[in-house]
Amino acid sequence: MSGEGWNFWVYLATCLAVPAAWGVCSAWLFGRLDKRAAKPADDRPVVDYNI
Amino acid sequence: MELLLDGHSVWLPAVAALGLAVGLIAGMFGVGGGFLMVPLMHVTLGVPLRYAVGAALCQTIATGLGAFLRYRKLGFAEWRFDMVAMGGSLFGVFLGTRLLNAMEFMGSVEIGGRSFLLQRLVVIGAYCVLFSWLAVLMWFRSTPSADASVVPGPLARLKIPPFVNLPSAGLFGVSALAIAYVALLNGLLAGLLGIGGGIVMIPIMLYGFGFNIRCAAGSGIIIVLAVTVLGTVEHVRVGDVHLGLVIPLMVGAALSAQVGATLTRSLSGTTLRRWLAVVLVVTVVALVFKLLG
Repeated sequence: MSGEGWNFWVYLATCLAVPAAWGVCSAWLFGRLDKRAAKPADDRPVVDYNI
Repeated sequence: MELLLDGHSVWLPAVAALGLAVGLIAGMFGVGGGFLMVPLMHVTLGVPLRYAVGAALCQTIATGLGAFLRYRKLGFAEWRFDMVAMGGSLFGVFLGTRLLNAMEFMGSVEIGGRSFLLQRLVVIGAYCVLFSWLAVLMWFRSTPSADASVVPGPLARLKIPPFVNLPSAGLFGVSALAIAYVALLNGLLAGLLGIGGGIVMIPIMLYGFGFNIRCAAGSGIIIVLAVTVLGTVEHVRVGDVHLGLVIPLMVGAALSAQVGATLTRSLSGTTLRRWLAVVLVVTVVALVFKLLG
């Protein structure tokens, strides 16, 4: 494949990879937030409010 | 009172009059109006495409900002959708801007014995396809009611991991890649055609993902604002934005948008949608004549 041909495929792959990487990272972040919110109250550290 | 753009002389009062006309239509139909600016500037005033695209994006910031502030108060946005879509949208704008300017130096193509400039062919062709699709949607599909129960659309049912929950929109397990690539397409069209992106993103959110109209408008406006700001910055960097063109457009549009909004009260939703479909079809016909003429 010529240099120009390679350039085209590298450019196309970058164009497809950047939005996908962003989407995957944000989905992972929101997934963690959901898991944290769904955690049962028993798993959270007990806070002693007695002074 | 004349402006010289790449050797084309543009009469400024005519630009302001065009801004008035587009502002009236934008006010009537509750849209930004950027999508009509480029075809009308190119067809009626002969403004070179790259300047028309730059001016339309710059003008849309004003309408986008007003709508963003209004919707932010109402709090209808699905922030997670915006976060997932933002990367693709902004990268798409960057690509679209570069593509528009690169095509200017790619010369012309021959189709059926006629020679067409590649940039004109792609931009006008994309506008014709986009407007025809929108005209069909506007004429035949009704807008989902704001209180209708959420039914996931075809894009929300795609089973491509990873998935993201969109609680404010009432959608769960939506493919993040579907959102990212739709956003990429939206950004690409925004940079290439000078549209804010709402005209593409809102129908996709409504009919593709199954958002209700309030949530689609509230979430879409954040993407539109980000896209228009970055699009304007990118077009300024490559010298496509001429303030002499932008200011009369903005003034004209701002003056008439309120009149358009007042006129809307006497018309039903269906009548308005069908009138917008007619405006889109007339614009497609004018664009085809311009391309072939």
